[in-house]
Parts: sequence; structure tokens; C-alpha cells
Amino acid sequence: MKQLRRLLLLVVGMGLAVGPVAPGLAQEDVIKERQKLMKSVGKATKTMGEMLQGKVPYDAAAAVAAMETIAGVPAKFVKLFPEDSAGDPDSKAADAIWEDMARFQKLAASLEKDAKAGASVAGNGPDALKGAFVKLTENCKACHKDFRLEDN
Amino acid sequence: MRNLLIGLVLLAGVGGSAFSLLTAPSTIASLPAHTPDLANGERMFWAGGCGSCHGAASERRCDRPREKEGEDKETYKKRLAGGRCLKTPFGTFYAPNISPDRETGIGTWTAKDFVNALKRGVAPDGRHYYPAFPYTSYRLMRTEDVLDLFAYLKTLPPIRARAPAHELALPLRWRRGLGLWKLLFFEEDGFRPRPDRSALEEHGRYLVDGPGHCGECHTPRNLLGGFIKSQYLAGGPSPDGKGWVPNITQHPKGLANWSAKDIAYALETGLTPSFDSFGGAMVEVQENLAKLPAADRAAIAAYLKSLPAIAGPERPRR
Ligand code: HEC
Ligand code: HEC
Ligand code: HEC
Repeated sequence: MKQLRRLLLLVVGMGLAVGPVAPGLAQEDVIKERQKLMKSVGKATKTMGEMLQGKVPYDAAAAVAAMETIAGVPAKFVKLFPEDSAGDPDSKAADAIWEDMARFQKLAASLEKDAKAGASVAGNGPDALKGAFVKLTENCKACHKDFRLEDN
Repeated sequence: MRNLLIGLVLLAGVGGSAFSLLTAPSTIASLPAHTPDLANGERMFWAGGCGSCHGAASERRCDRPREKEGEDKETYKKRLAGGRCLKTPFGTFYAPNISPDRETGIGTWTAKDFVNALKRGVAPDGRHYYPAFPYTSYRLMRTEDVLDLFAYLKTLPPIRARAPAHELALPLRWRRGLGLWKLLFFEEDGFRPRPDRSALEEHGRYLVDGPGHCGECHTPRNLLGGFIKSQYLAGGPSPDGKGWVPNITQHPKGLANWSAKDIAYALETGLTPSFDSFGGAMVEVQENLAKLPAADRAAIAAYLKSLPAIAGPERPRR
């Protein structure tokens, strides 16, 4: 009985920790939603990357907006990994996410922090953007290395 | 796959004396006179990614090495105490200590010992190494480059530590049987120049096939773990069996749409032309390649752009 209560508490506790798991989203939608968020991160990264490569002229406002877009993603993103969305063939999310959710969330928090810091300097010219961009994109590799399946 | 290999090894066991002749390790007897160049040695260290397997990841983990929080990645890759584990279909291998420690590392090795390990896959006591150590590619390295690398490794900190023993099925623990595998899949000759190629492409080919050992992951393998040469760099299942390694030939599913600049940029930063980032095992490789001079990455890119379009194995639906 005591064990059962512990288990119940644990289950409830986990529910709280993950927050209101995007209520009403079916598994498929959860996956689509998190992929959509990551696509927006990719697009914002491209906006800045092409400025730094000289493919498009540096644009202070667009660079700040791109950093802000990315800063807005992690908090939403980490809520889109309910247990039942593990191992789905349409997703590249690795099982490691559910095995080490704490570290996964920490990497997401780090992305948010570096994007916020980036937003405050990205408007100060290409050199300032470059420094922030390099720091920002370390987060992508760190997370994709362990938590995204290898394939293209 | 494993059963096949075990079978082969057992079969070989009854082959008797012919077998013993065939599987005897062959070694290099003499070395050219050479004054080591430490800077080139360090370059070979990063091109070869030695630290990714032998680096003492502070957190002992089986798959990917990882720095302690706040620790510099470069620092742990130069602490060559070993211990990283590599899961393969043949069992679990542990990268040994190759720091200059005299007792547990390679501190007492001669240059010849080291050259034979990298270019022949043979230990100082004459035993064969398992190809989990990618000497199958390092064999193409120039002897001078290997000597420079040896001199460089000696400048790194000695660390006293013993890696765990490999966990392999019984017949595979018998190293002599590897001689047969080598007979089938290991060629001893070095890098053969191809005069039809530009100097830049040739340098790239050397880095890709030799120290860079790109084919160890990007070339698919047959049932016995040998390269399928007709599908050179055309992608296939990851060596650890978990994912899929992409085609990097000029096939439409490969790098046909990447410019040489895109490739060099990706190897420097880890960012693809669509500004996705590398993931999985390629992150380690990229972070090592980022330490090379830009000219080396440009050479790799030029060589990859010169490859034909080769279709890889069909990828099964997950
Ligand atoms: C906290 C972990 C984490 C971080 C940090 C992270 N990603 Fe991702 N990313 C993922 C995961 C997990 C997926 C796979 C999602 C799926 O398929 O369900 C993914 C997928 C993607 C995709 C493919 C989206 C699609 O489905 O087409 C892109 C592009 C991408 N990430 C870009 C980035 C970039 C650029 C950064 C850094 C600015 C970044 N990511 C940072 C975890 C992360
Ligand atoms: C340890 C295994 C391994 C080695 C060694 C390796 N790669 Fe990779 N490579 C991968 C994996 C896995 C991916 C897919 C990464 C991902 O999921 O984002 C990849 C992706 C790539 C890509 C991007 C392809 C695409 O379509 O997105 C390029 C380019 C590449 N590798 C080049 C190289 C070169 C050049 C070398 C040698 C210097 C090399 N790789 C060595 C495992 C490896
Ligand atoms: C993919 C992982 C991997 C990489 C990369 C790698 N090694 Fe190893 N190495 C191994 C494994 C596994 C062994 C053990 C082989 C055995 O026991 O048969 C090994 C063995 C060795 C040995 C023999 C040590 C002994 O005690 O007998 C030496 C020397 C060595 N490696 C040097 C290098 C150098 C130098 C590089 C870089 C140019 C390198 N290795 C890159 C996995 C790797």
C-alpha cells in the first residue's frame, strides 16, 4: 500500500515536473510540433549564419529577432517529449532523452540562456554577432550529439 | 554476423600449420631516418581523432565521451588514459591507455613498435589488434607522419590507469584468428599517389582515407566487417548499430548539393548548408577537424567534390 502511494506520488510528481504536457496533443502532433519548433530554430540560425558568411548584408534588427526567436523555443520544446512519444519512426528524438531528461532539459536551458544573451548583443555589429553565434551553435551540437538519432 | 565470424575463426582453428603461416603477423623491420616535427604530429593527432577514443572522458560512459561540466574538451582529449567503450556487433571494446606512462601506457614503446601498431595492426609482442582500432585506415599514413605523431604523444601527460579488458565472445578473444580476417580485408600497402588528381585533391584524399578514417563510418561493411569497396563513402548503418551514417559521395542523396565551401564550413563549424547542426558521432569528428589548418579542410572538401555519385545501401524504414 505504502509502495503504491509512493508510486502514485511519483507519477503525479512527474506530471507536474513536465508541466501541463501540451494538453490535448496526440502523439503525432507532439512530434510535429517539436519538429516545427526546431525548424524555426534552424531558420533563425540560417538568417544569422548567412549574414556572417557574407551571403546577405548584416542586419541588426533581423539578427536580434533571430536570437529572440530561438530564445523563445526551449521552454516550449522540452514540454513536447511525453513518454509515449519515444521511439516513433517519424521522429529523430533519441531514447537517451527519456533516459536522461535532466541533462536534456539542462542543454535546452543553456540554449535559451545563450540566445537571450545573444539577443542583447547581436545588434552591436557583425563581430558581436559572430561571438554570440559561435557560443549559441555549440548548444546545437552538444544536444544533437547525444539526443538526436544519427541519420540524414 | 557475429556467428559467422565465430564460425570462421573456429574453422580456421582446425586449419593447422597452414593457418599458422597465413596468420602470422607481418611487421615493418626498419624505419627511415627522420627528425620529428611536433607541430605536424599534433596535426596528425587531430586529423586522426585519437583523443575521441583514447581520451579519458571524465564521465565513464559507453557511447560518447564527454567532458566534465566546465572542463575544456581539448584537455580531456589530450589525457590519453583510455577507457572509452565501443559497442560493436562483435562485442565491447575498451580503448587502452596510450599516454606516455611507462607502466600502463606506451611510455616504453619504440618508434618501430608504434609504427607497427598504426600501419600493421600488430602489437610489440606480436599479437594482432582488433580493427575496432582503425589501423585499417591509419595504415595509409606516411611513416614520417606516424613518427611525428609518436613524438607528439610523448609530450602529453603520462597517466597511470588500466582500461578494462574487452568483452568478446570466446573465439573472438583469440587474437591469432584475426590474422585470417586481415588476410581477407587488410591491405598492407601505403598511400598510392594518383597522378591524375590535383595536389589539393590528393592531399584531401590522404586526409580522408588515412588519418581521417572517414570510411570507417561512411563506407558500408560486409557481414564480416570488411569495407564494401564498390560503395566507398556511400553511407550505411552506424558502426554501433544505432543509426545511419549519410552518403558523402556526389550522389543526390549525398553531398551533390553541397559546394566545396559548404563542406569546409561544415567541417569547421558543425553547421550544414541548411544551418542544421551535425549530431551523433560526427560531432566528435568535426570538433577534431576544426583544430586543423583551414587548408586541410579545404583539401578534404575538394576531394569529396571530386568523387563520383555512388548509391549506398538502401536504408530500411525504421
Ligand atoms: C536540448 C536539445 C537540443 C538543442 C539545444 C538543439 N536541438 Fe535541434 N533537435 C533536437 C531534437 C531532439 C531534434 C529531433 C526532434 C524530432 O525529430 O522529434 C532536433 C531537430 C532539429 C532539426 C530538424 C527539424 C526537422 O524535423 O526538420 C533542426 C534543423 C535543428 N534541430 C536545428 C537546431 C539548431 C540550429 C540548434 C542550435 C541553435 C538546435 N537544433 C539546438 C534537440 C535540440
Ligand atoms: C565515427 C564515425 C564517423 C567518422 C569517422 C566520420 N563521420 Fe561523417 N558523419 C557521421 C555521422 C553519424 C553523420 C551524420 C551526422 C548527423 O546525424 O547529424 C556524419 C555526417 C557527415 C557529413 C554531413 C552529411 C550530410 O548529408 O549531412 C559530412 C560532410 C561528413 N560526415 C564528412 C566526414 C568526413 C570528411 C570524415 C573524415 C574526416 C567523416 N565524416 C568521418 C559519422 C562519422
Ligand atoms: C574508433 C576508436 C579509436 C580511434 C579513433 C583510435 N584508436 Fe587506438 N585503439 C582503439 C582500440 C579499441 C584499441 C585496442 C585494440 C586491441 O586491443 O586490439 C586501440 C589500440 C591502440 C594502440 C595499442 C595500445 C596497446 O596498449 O597495445 C595504440 C598505440 C593506439 N591505439 C594508438 C592510436 C592513435 C595514435 C590513434 C590516432 C591516430 C588512435 N589510436 C585512434 C580505438 C581507437
